[in-house]
Amino acid sequence: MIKKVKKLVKDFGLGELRTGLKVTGKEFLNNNITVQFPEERTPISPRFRGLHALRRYPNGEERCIACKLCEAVCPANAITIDSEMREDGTRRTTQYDIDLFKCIFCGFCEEACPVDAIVETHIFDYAFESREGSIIDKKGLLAIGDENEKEISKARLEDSKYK
Amino acid sequence: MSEIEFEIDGKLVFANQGDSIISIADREGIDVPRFCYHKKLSVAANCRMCLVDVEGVPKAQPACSTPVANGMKIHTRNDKAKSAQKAVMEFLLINHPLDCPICDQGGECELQDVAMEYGTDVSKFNLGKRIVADKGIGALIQTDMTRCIHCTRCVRFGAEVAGIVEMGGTGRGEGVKIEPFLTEGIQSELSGNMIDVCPVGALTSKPFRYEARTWQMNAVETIARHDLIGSNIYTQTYRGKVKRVVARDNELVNETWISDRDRFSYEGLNHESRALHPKIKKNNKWQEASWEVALDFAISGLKKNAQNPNQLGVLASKNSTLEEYYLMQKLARSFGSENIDYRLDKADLSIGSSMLSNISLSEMESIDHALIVNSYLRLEQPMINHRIRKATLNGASVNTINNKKFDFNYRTNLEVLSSPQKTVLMLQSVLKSLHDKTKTPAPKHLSKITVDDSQNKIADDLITAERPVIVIGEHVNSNISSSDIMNIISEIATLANAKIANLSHSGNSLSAEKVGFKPSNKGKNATSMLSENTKAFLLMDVDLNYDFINPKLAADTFNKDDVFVVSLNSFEDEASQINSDVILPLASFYESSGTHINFDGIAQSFSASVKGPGDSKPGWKIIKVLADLFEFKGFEYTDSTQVADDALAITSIGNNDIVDKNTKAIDDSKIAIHWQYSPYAVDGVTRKAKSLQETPIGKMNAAFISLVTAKELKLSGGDLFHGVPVSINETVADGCVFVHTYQSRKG
Amino acid sequence: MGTPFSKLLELAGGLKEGRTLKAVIPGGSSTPLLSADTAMNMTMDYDSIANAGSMLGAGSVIIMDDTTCMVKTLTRLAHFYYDESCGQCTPCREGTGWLYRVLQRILDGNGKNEDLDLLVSVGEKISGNTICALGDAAATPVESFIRHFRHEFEYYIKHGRSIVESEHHLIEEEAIV
Repeated sequence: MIKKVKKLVKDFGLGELRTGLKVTGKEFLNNNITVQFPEERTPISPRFRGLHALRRYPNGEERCIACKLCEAVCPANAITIDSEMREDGTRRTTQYDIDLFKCIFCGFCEEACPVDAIVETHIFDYAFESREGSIIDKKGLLAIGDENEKEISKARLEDSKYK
Repeated sequence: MSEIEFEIDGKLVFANQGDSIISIADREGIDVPRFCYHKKLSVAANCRMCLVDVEGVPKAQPACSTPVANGMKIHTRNDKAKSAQKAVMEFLLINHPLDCPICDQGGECELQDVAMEYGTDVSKFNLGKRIVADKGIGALIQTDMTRCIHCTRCVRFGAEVAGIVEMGGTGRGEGVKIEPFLTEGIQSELSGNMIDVCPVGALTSKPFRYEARTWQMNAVETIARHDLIGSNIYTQTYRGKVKRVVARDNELVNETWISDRDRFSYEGLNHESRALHPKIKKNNKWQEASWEVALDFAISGLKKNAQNPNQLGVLASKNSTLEEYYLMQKLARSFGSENIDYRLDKADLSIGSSMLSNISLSEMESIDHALIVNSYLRLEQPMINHRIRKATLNGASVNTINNKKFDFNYRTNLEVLSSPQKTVLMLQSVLKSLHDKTKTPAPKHLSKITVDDSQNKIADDLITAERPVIVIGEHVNSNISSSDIMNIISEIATLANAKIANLSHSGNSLSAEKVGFKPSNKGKNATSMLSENTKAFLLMDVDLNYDFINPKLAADTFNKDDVFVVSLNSFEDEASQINSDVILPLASFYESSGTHINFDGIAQSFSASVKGPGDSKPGWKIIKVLADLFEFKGFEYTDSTQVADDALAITSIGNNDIVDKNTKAIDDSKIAIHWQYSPYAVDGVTRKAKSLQETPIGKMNAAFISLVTAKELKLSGGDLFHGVPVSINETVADGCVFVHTYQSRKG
Repeated sequence: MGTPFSKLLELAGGLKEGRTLKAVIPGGSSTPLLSADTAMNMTMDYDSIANAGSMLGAGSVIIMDDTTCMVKTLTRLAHFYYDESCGQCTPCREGTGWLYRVLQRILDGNGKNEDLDLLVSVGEKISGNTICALGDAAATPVESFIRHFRHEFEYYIKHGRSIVESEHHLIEEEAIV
């Protein structure tokens, strides 16, 4: 009988609600851990593997020398390369395509490259409007590289002591 | 040849006296690393990579230069051998540049492969590496001599196989440079093989530079059809295009070598003048058409112009496949025409049959004497020339009877000059001398012939040799008495007990002979077809400027308004456009399956390496469809191998009958002209191969005339003779003009 | 033949005033170096010199006194073999250059401690693997000089100059008799 009365008091006294609100109140005054994407971004490791880019040397010369090691090592055959002698006698590509639908972003191409030409940037939020956009050609890759060179070099420098 | 029994890596093996350890190891499948050893070149033992441990000998021994002995115990992989091999590997890598990413040899590099097992991962060499400045050696071979490991394979190749020592080692010690002695670039017609023998990327193919990696390409086995050998090759293709040609081993045919022409002609396949779409000429204007329309147009034109089957003429060059020749002559004969011929460059077509050779390629190596008649053999048939060179290294002697003195890559004894119009007389003198020496009665028509010392010597050398051969070359084709020449040579061969090598053929003409691609008695031959009442022509891969002995006559005939010409062509140019009414794009070399019959009579079949560009189709298919549209029976083929089977089942047509023993009288006061094409202008594809045309051989362009004859013709050095600069030269016989050029004789 | 070395030295006029014997090469630079004590106790014949650890070789005796810098001497010998190598076989062609350049680098003051073991191992790799004996001849002085006078090389690497200068304050001469 006393038990029944105690239970009634507890139920109508909204005890559980108060316990919950206590927690809510405590958290209300805590720091917000939500990151407001896209204005704010979570920190990214320098080794993060995102969208690809073709880099250049500081004097503007493209790094890629058409050795085709990246094409050979790619486990998904995402890279297609055709090469020829350029007019000045150097070895350069005439076609360098990466099919992002095939790519698994493993980073093997970046590891294989002997001159640090093909790298993976920190860009993960790219988009294209039609299926053809999945194939990035050489011009596109060089453009991504030119735009993000500062960040790319910074990431490489940071990681260099472990390589 | 005693049997030697010894042990290698614990395995008991047998060998012959004089065998080297490395050759037995290769035979047994035991891997011994090496760089300077090549099974076809002499042993140098200078790379020191093949050092193996021979029990009882304190130092490691080079396997390539150590002969086997009874009871020897050899270890190729124990500590002693491995430490020696690793030491040598380390030394090779200290000065070798880190070029692998940009080096074309990457992926097929012997240094890379051996370094995988015998190299260390980290180098202890932290000093500057030596570099070598490159000397250009021509349009075919690219040099990067910093990569050279001084194995001297290229040097030995030049000395032993090519016969011209063009690369040599200058300098001493670390400064040794392998470079050409002279500055004009490599001259040999077999020079491309240096690319194959070089184990690293020091000598690479210049046209192929930077194009593709070995692992990307698809290697297709096929045959090179430019000469009588049918050298075995691999065409390496990538994305539907032939990127490179490399040699394939076949001991019976081409050993491991191929000529430069075989190696670099593929460049012509991608030339911009390729015929890509069927075209028809209506109202004197060309328009592209579909295959159906073009074929119908062709059939109706042929039927209309050749109401009488005898008005149809069928002509081909020497470069088609066996299947194409077979189907084409079958089509012509089904049509009712016997006007079939491939001998477009022959001046004398009087004998129907052609003289057969009775010597094999391997027998060529063991001759002890050769008489070369009317041939610049080194450039015409480089691989057969190489066999004769091997024979001379074993002591064989060579005499020549030619319009001009040529540079052979072996020593010749007697080089007799004879102008084309005097060749019959020259050979008759030799024949007479032979009759004298063999004490056989000479036929009456030889009774007034005089014999001089050189002719006596030629006859003498033939008689005293035990295995002589008479080689007849291509210059005889432009001689108006070529059938007489063949007759006389046949008699000479009988008297001297000599074999005959008839190299007046070239390309795939033996296939044409096999299927009877020649007019029978009722038909017109190549020349008479042009000058008599032929109103319709089917031309198979014929170049109007280059293939005819009288291009002007051909052009005039085809250009007539009432003559209808259907051309199957791989290349389109001004001439073909002016003179044809229908152009059907033909798949070229490596783009169609087919068969080639070589000098030994070996039929080598091959499949297509790539598909022809544009709408071009294999020749045998085009002919089959034409025959179907004509509604002829017997063309129910679905595969070219069926055609080849039928073609090869034909029994031999050629024979050695001598038709007329009395030779015709020749006007030997008239100055003869011989127009010899450079070996890189012999067929359509080769002519369009850019790099070959830039070589010294490709650029040859001179009309050689002796001073006496030049005065008669009122020419002096530098004048143009039909567009070719004149060179006054005493190496050419009087009374003739020997033109050696890449230009066509259309002038 | 058979003359004691000490007598030979006397007959040649002896060492210069105030100098002591340091090392001897008995038979041309291809033969191993001998320390002064060993040399003074041998006679000039095949067996005696072989027992001492070298060879009679070409019979060209090279005598070095205490003003000789062993590092400079070895570098000069290495240069000789580098120059004379014909270039045919790999170990000698590449190895002699390697030996000479490492020694030259020590001489320029940029030597490293690992260089000495490196020199000996390179010499070992050349020995026995060449077409002719020049390779072995190039390796022999490297091995024997470093074995006998390692401290001189270590001094040179550490200080960038010869121990001979520091000990004697003399301008070094190449004392090749």
